[in-house]
Amino acid sequence: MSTTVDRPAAAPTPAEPPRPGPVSWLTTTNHKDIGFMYCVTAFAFFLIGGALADLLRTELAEPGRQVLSNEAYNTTFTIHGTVMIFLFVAPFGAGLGNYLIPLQIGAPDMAFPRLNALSYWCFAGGGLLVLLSGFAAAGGGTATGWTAYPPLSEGRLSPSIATDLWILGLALVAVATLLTGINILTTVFLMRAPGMTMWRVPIFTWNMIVTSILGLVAFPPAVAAFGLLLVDRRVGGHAFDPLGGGDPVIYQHLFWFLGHPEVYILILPFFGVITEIIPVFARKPLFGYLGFVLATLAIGALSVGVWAHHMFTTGVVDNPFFSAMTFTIAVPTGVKFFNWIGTMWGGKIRLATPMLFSIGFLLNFLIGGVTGVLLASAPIDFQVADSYFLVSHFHYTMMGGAVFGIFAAIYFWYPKMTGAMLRESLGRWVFYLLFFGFNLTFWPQFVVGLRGMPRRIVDYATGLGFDTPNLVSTIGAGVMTVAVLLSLADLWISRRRRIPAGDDPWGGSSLEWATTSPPPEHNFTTVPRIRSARPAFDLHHPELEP
Amino acid sequence: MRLFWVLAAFFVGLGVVYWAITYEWTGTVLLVAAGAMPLIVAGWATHAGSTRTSLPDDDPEGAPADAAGQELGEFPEATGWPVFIVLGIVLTGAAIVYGSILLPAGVALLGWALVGFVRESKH
Repeated sequence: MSTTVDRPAAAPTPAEPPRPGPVSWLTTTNHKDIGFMYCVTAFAFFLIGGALADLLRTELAEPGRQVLSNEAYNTTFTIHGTVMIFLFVAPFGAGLGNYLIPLQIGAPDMAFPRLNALSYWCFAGGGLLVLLSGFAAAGGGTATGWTAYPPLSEGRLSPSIATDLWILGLALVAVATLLTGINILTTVFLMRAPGMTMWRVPIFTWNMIVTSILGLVAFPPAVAAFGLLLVDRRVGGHAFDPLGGGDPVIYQHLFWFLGHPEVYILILPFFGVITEIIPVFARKPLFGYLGFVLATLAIGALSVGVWAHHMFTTGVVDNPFFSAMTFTIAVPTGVKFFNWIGTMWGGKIRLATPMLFSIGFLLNFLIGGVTGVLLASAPIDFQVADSYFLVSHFHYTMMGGAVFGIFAAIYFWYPKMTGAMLRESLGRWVFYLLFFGFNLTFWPQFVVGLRGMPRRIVDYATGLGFDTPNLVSTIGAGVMTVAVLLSLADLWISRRRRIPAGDDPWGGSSLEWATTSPPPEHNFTTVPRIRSARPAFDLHHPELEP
Repeated sequence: MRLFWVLAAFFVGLGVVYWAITYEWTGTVLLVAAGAMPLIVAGWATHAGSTRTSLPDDDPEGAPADAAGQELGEFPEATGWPVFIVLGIVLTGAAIVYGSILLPAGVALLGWALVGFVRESKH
């Protein structure tokens, strides 16, 4: 059964929408339901990945063995990395895109709703397989690290079926990413409301366009790598097995051709998120819309040419080429910082929770970005490769950046999604604890990294200068855990004691703030006239004709 | 759609530069192949654009009334096939891992669900 929708008016809002049951969640094709399911599922994976991180930090709190065996430690960091990267951050961005893009461009739904449902279920099914590979596989969980480099991941050294489940799960997640990318691009290019020209498309949507293109370019080689690895393991192939004439470095090329654009697939949606938030709470339009979009496109294009900076120490890649490309990508990223600071400069800044998380994002990501520039220099990379310096750099970009962006998005758009506010007072506590805990966790890891502590080790000797920083780092992880639990309490309280949000609680600018909270089934009863990149602002301030 | 032409040219051009500097095959093939994706989109868009009049979406003065009555498409209300497709894929994949006894069930479920998914799209 299907509904034909004409523009500009969409289906009327039912007076009392029926409460969705389990079957409707299983069969829905509505972009808001699917987006919501993506976000909730991804957040559930975050809780699992976070619990695993706490286990790792508990083990490393002091020298000696605490809670994990060698094998369990290897499995724990493998599943922690895989879950956080492929099952939490990236899908949360996809979920936000699913929910927000049709609202931001004035479309009634995504271009391919059933494909959208298929992409969600591929993600959920793939995620389940990845979890099974860690905890429910006979012969022990997969323990190859999230990169699964051969020959370690070959059948000789990792004979457990867990690694096969891991490969299948990630292949399914890759299919989900490809389907979502196709859907997003088609939706934005063909379903915009009248007047929503490409140069008026909200920045979040622009970032999702670039993210989708990156997904379409970068995931197929990784799927090929996973497929060949599975053939090596199960059918006796030798693509990556040096004993059979294969070349494990080719796997690294294929993997990192995904792996580095993946970093931008993870972060770009949240560049978009904070770029939606900062102008709203600085009470100013975005400074340099065009420059921001061009910088995003430049980041997307350049990110495809930097993959082998992860392979400097292999000795078989052209280090100067990849160094130069990596230094270059810092330029458009710097342009974005210029945009964000320029937007806040002279604004009447209101430090509500979404803005606090956005500022936290800027501070953390700046540290992550600057240390990334250091790592782009091959001589420095040789010194700190595979050390905790690298772990800290990565977490400053991914957790300090993307995860703070996720919390900013939750506090900003939760009122739009549900019609209810989250508690500002609790939200501020969540921010302060998360910001403090995050820096307490990861700043000491720069220190131990520079002192030479390698990553992926279950224990360390005393007297090397590792003890105190590791203890501080573990305490920081505990503080972050409290912050996350507090955010869950905030969500729970908001459901129990509802504070109505109204349609536009923040004074937003983009089109989603021009419809009801939550929006009706096909998003708009009437699409307003779009005269600028700030249609909701224009609607609420008709006296300020652009 | 110029965006996709530019991207295709950038990736292919970068592949050529990469080859000239490194003589390394894997990266060259990856970069040139990366150019194929935007090339496909750009080619299709150019073909489709040659037979299409401009949309009110792209008109800066476009108003909702300009598109009144224009059909955006059909929006399905619910479908259970995606769940069964993924169950079929998982079962088929599990056969590779756990043994071929699962393969007939996985392939049958996947085939049944795909046929149902495609047939539903024709309604």
